[in-house]
Amino acid sequence: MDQVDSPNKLKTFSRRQLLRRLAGGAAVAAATAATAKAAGAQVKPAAQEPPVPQNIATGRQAGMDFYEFHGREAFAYTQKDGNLAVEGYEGKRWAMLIDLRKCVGCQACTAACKFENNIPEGSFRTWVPDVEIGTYPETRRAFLPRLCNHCERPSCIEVCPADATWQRKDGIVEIDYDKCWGCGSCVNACPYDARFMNPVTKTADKCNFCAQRVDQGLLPACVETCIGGARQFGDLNDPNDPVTRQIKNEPVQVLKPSTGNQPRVFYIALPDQLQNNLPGRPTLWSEMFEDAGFENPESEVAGEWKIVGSQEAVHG
Amino acid sequence: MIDRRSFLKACAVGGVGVGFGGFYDTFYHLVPFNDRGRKALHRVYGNSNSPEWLRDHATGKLAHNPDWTLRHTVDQQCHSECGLRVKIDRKTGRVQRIIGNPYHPNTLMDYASMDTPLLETAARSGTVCARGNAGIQSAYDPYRITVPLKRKGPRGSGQWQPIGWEQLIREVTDGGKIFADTGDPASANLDVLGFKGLYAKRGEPMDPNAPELGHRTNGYVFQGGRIVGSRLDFARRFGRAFGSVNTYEHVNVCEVSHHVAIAQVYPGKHMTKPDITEAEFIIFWGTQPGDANFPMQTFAKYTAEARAKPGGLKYVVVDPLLGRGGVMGDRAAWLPIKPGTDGALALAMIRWIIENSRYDADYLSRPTQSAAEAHGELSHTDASHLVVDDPQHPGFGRFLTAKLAGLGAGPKEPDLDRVVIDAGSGKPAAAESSQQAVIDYSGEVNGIRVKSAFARLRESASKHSVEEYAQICGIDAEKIVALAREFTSHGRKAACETYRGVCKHPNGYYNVMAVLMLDLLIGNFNWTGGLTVGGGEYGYKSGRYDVLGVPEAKGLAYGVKLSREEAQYEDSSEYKAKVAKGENAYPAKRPWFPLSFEVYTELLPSAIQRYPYGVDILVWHMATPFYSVPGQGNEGLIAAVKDPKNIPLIIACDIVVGDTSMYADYIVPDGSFLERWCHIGTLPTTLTKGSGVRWPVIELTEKTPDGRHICLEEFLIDIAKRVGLPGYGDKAIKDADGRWWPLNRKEDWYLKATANVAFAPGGPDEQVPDVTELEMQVNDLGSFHEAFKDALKPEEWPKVLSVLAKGGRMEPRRNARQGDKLTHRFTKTLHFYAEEVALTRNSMTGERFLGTTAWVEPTTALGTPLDKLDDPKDWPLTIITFKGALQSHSRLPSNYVLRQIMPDNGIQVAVEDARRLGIRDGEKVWVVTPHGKRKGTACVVEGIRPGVITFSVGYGHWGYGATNYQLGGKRIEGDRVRRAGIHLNPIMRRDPDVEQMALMDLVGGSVVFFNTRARLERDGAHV
Repeated sequence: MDQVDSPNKLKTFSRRQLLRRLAGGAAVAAATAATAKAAGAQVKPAAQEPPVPQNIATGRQAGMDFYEFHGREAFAYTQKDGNLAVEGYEGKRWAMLIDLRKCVGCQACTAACKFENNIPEGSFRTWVPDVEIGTYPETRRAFLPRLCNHCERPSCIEVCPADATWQRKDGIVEIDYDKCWGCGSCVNACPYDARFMNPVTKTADKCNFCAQRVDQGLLPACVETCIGGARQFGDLNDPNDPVTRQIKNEPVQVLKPSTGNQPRVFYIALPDQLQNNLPGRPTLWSEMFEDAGFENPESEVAGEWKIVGSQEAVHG
Repeated sequence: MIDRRSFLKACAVGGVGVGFGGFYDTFYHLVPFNDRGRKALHRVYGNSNSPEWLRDHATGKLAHNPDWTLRHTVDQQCHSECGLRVKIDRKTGRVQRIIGNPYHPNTLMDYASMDTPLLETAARSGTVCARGNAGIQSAYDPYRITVPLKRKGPRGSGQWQPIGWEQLIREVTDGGKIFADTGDPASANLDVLGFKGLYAKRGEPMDPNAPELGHRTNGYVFQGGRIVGSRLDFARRFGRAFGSVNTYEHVNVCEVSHHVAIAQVYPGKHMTKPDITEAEFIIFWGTQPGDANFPMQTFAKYTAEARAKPGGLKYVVVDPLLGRGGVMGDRAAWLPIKPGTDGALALAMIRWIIENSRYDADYLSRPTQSAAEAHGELSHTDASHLVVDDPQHPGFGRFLTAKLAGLGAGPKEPDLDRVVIDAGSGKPAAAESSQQAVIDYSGEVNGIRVKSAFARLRESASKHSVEEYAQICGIDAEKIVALAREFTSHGRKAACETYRGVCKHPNGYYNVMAVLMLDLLIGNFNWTGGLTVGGGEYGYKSGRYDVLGVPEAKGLAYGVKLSREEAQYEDSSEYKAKVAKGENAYPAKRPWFPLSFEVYTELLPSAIQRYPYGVDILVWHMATPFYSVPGQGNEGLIAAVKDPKNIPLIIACDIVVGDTSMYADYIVPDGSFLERWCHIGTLPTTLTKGSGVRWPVIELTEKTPDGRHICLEEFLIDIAKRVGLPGYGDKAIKDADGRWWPLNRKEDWYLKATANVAFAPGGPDEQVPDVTELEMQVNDLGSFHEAFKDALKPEEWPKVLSVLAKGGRMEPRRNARQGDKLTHRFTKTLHFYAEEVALTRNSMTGERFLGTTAWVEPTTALGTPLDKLDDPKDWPLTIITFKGALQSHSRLPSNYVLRQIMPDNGIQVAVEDARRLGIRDGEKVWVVTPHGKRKGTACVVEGIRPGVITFSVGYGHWGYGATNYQLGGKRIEGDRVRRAGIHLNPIMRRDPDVEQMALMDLVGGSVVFFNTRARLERDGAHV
């Protein structure tokens, strides 16, 4: 993973490290700034803990750094939910329906997921390949939102040697982050490339339909933010659920039906060309830098202040 | 795996990334089993955020999770101005998530009305695009500056010293030898005229020989990049109080020619939009759903809904680039046109439509709104209005008036004083006395040769055959006819949408005008499924408080602006003196832009050339002309700006050391959009009335000694107070009862503007309910109210807090339509003929502009056709730009999430061109233009017209954290993620006829982005 050469070389760090680092300062972000006693629109911190300075930047991960400031107390509320997180809802079967006629390829879902779930740099739980189909001038654009299919017959569960992944009663395929050793078997087993190794927790990771939201009666972040309304979330066991009705009444497809996994992410208007040829993850964050021209020594010494305005320049 | 790879090669990845294999190596992060990572926050929920609403499992009801504050504000990651629900961690005060505000019409088809209880919106929040989601990273940018900076060494040497607030205000206000401590020999002894010194000259003329140039205080210039709504008014108010007319936003770098053209057709309005969800057919010209628009997400949302609906929308995208609109299925089609020839395509359609009588003749025959409404119409045009057509007649080019026609005195209102040939009598008649008039008329009235506006368009369109137009625009004649037939096959449920791609050309204004004519021909305006100017806004300027007025400064700011916009060259002393001496007054030294506004791109070169006058103090606010303006990031102009003799004091107000602000003398740290105020009306895609209110939901900059967070407004306030400007301090803002209120902090002003919005007139279901206890709690408004209690009258607070708690004031959605009619209609005369344009001269050639649109060849300022300027044999490619979903301007390099999705923009090349040049997908190529070259990654695609290359804006930074600089002795290292990609604006074509000016549309005032010729060269090093 490429490391940022920025004023605050932050990757993963403890709170103590974080505060110490502030002395060096991110640009001019002084440590003393903007604490809770500020006038006006300041948000009050909880009284018992010293406030965390608000203007510290956590490198490239700002907004995806919730875990940097919290311990397990952040989910203390789950005590009232009993075993819901593990077992899920009895009698429900969650599913997603993606109407590709409404997908505008905006990547709002990709971004929202990163912030909601605090996904480390370079990893994605959902992503939207964006491809061209057909030759000029009969070319068209196609977008294919991807995520864990929460299959009826998942191939990722039985390969787990640690018993760290299971399917809840409501169909959500979960990972136990306390149990997972990070062996990667499930990552290999998934025919949809839905799983990845999380470089922070060093466990397997993947979409869980935002179970933390769904369990409270809220929508997954990607559905909530989908600007075209392409992503819908519903309960297949409820015949009156709009998702169930559409799946019954309209032609829907799943990805790679031949796997026999029986995905529970359905698509409307899935192009034939894509059904069995899944385009990959949107980018290769680390390798991308090589491709983006960073290997070029010219760019490293491009005269810092001479890039702009020169006749020839390589920004890369 | 191999199959997947080869598949991807075959279909070439479009907008995401640039065709890099794209297959994720799942083993990349594999680690030994004994290397345990950081324990997740929850065994099952992992490191996800805890939810902002929690369910009581006994009752099934949602309740607020007190760990979070939710505040409702307005986005500014682009100019869509979408409502946001910002999720703030109560423990840390940090923003962890940005969600759409369900009360804002941009974010939901069926947005919540103002009286919807907050809890009812918990499970149905609004949507927001990727940029909107990523806005957190603009605020918490590791390169944010939070204290004022002053340069060390010469301008642009990359060395900065943090300074205190008082020093900043003292130095820039009092002036003197303020650069003595910089160690820069060029400016150490420079005696700088600060704000105080310049204001002292407020009574003096700029130039005694040219009184039209106003006062010396016009030497203060505010160059604003993205600044809109009430924030722009805050900056303007300062400028006017100071005595300067020179406060600008960036419109001409964006798309001003389309605003200018629309204002000619729809007087006083700057945007029309289709009623997308109910239209049956739309032609998207030079823009497409999913790309930047007003507002991007709503435009895309409505299109998605409409094209998925049974029997719903079909559309055609006219664009050299296959963007996000050209999707699979039978609802969308793509017509890859030659750049800049949209006018030819539109005129070909007009010609066919007129020749085949496919226009709405009855609609066009109604000469006034009353005649139109009497016949069931919702608007009327000037189609039948007569125009003086005799070049010898003094009224040539003007609408024929009743007096000229020998019909006696006409109406007092000049806009209504029109003459037509009455259809019943066949005789000339005052328009207002005719119910129906002849639309196609050429002849004589009262001895004067006249022609109807419609006849003029017919003749203009007839100058070329459909086949000739087809040749010009590169689209087959049969396809043109099919498009025209389809467009005229849906009654009033068809419309054109036109934007950047059409107007950013030397002939941009005429192109847009031609497209706008198509809508007039089918009479779609004000109809459901047709075209609209939108629902409008609740005014913030007056009502409870007069926030704009500074009575004591009245008359101080006047005169020709630095950009020479909204002024005629022929009225200048310079012109008159030349004429008096018998000289040819043309060309002017630099063009004048009488028809345009916010001609931002002319500010720097005009200041350097001191035409029409020089600049003493320049403020750049979110302005980055070297990055954004075509052709301006060049050595010559940068050297001129770096020389303090040209502009003695440059102050930037920015959130980082930016690509242009790095050349300033001082940088004032500004708040990010999450720390700002602004009142902004909803955009016309929304059919209902509404005003969003952006307010500081967090504050991150350092504070002034008296506890205000540093930002643009506090900077202007403190300068004003130190200079002693009227309109600031304890007697500043007058309320409706004549009582004066202070202006000592930004809230003193913005809260009063909010009160104006909250109490603006509106129907019974538009009233603002009082704020609720829950809203106070969830938005954490208690401390806010406490801090600013005395800025408003107590009775105003419940509604003002309610507006803040909902992020604005919106009319309910149910008011959008009345059956087949739109509720909010615009009823002035719509124009085929632009009289004002016809009467205006080109300041370079002295020729009159055209009142009726025509196919006009793109040229330089003095008329050299672009093919002659850069021979297509040497320069076979044309560069165009696009604003996709992930980047639309200069300010997103800090948004690492977006960079993770698309780290490099690449240079998109058609398969056919790549094959000819032997260029492979992913290889490095040089883009060479007459002004230089840049290296980037080739992205070989099917979805672009051969002969055209393009890049997404937003990459290839040199400032904004992309390169190193010194800060108070510490080295700040730039992040190469921010340097990634290619940026071609700095090497775009400059006009050889005008110093340091890119090609420009001299009618509409747009700078040209789409007419630079180029060639591609393979990078020798890369085989």
